[in-house]
Amino acid sequence: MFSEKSLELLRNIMQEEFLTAVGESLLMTFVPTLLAFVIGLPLGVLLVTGDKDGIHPLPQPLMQAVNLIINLMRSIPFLILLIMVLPLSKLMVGTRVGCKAMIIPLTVAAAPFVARLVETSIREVDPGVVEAAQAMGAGTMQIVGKVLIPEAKPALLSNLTVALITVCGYGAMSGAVGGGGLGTIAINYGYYRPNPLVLYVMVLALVVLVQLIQAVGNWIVRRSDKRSR
Amino acid sequence: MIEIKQLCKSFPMPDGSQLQALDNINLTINDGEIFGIIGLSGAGKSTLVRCINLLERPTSGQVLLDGKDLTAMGPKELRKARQGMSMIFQGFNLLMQRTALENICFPLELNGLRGEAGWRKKRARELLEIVGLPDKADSYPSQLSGGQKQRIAIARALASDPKVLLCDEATSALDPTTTQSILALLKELNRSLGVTVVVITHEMRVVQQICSRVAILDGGVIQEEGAVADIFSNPRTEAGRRLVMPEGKKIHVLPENRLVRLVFNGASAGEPIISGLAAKQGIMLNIISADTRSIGDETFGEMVLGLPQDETEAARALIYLREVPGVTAEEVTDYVQ
Repeated sequence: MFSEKSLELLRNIMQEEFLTAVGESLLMTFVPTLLAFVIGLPLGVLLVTGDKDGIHPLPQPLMQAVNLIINLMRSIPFLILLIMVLPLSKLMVGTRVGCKAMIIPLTVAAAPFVARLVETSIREVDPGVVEAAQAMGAGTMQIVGKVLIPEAKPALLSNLTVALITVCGYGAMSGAVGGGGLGTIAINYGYYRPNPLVLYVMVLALVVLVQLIQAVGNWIVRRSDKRSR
Repeated sequence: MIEIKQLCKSFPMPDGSQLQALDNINLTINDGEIFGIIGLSGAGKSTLVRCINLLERPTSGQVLLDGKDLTAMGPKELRKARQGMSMIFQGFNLLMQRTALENICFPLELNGLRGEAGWRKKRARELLEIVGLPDKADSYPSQLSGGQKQRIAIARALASDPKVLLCDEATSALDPTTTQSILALLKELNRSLGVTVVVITHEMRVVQQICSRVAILDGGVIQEEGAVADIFSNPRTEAGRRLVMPEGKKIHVLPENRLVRLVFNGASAGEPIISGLAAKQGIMLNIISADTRSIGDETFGEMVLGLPQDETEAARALIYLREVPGVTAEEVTDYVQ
């Protein structure tokens, strides 16, 4: 079905590039997502608590500005955002190519997305529980740290899984501009030097990666949620 | 002591007008009493209880706790004051991701100065003992029944040694038997710890069972206020009658009879009142409606009786009924609308 030549090429790739590519893909998935949570978690919490009906209302023009920026960044297609942010990578990491350079644009793209995911998770927390905490004399930071985030933990972990899978996809896309990882091999051999066999194997590897992330994510969410025991 | 002075609360409506939820509320709740605030849905009772601990900020007026005006306090001072005034809710509002024990520890964690984790756990276990659930320390709320959840919520509310316990429809989500046990627990806590209890409810029987005084709230206004026995036996306002006799309309089927309404307020359950009247006086009465229950050896509730046609017999029956201890007899004519 496939020529001897393409099997030979696949064998070479599997021996020399594949494991490195998997490592790069994992790096480009986990590091930007975690960085995006570092930015997105406080931002998402702020979107809920700073709301005009929130536990610590902030000036509404400020909230509108934050919302506008998040929406703007989310409406730029990832590939365009990637190209726009690459100069920043050059500045911060010293290069525009390779998986390290991609961490910056991937983080920039994922952070507003994560902020929205965090926002919806936090909004799911029963307002009655927040009211109970207020009635007990809890301050804003205590409510955030002891009520909102712990009570939203299962939803946050579930959304962390969603974010990881999305960023994994973005990471593969970055192969188009010299990113790295499985996506780069897939694009190089599937598009620039058409070799369907290599393309399919790389896609299969990405599918397995996504399935693993989802399965582990589901397992962790089930274990962490005390509502369903 | 809680003093509510000229308290008003209005909410802005989408059309720009103001909804007056509470209008000039004046109430004094004494230390150690169980005070009921009763009203039908929409009467403003939940808003009122939220104004007491300032979860809702009153539009105007004052709330004084032991003479200190809560409405004049800064955020920090207010949080401190709230720790002396706990609240339990219809929906329990427990932290679902924490065990029962951890839920009870929660208010103690907020007050960071008070001891370390070991002390908090010890205190929480004592409270579990008090509410009768010592074996549920490591259960999560999803594993508990409604009544058990409310007991955990009560233990949590007591953790900060409050002087006041605000109960917002605390038994409305529970079945009648569980309601009885929670009310008994509240009464017991009031007796043993001396905690002042404010009960918000739409159920007259809750007020009747545990409260000493009651205020009737309707349309955001206190319609009447007084000792439970007085209000229950002789409601003076339309709102009071609606709450005390929710099924009063049924009596309309017998308009020719003179009716007497008996209110049982701790009468001895062993006393056969109706048959006593028949045996001793030879007077037969018609039971029109009855809604009584016995708690311990005391009877609470009400009964409507049809008096005999004969005027002298009716008068003798009234005299007899009025002499039964723990029973108030009131001739009723005007509550049928």
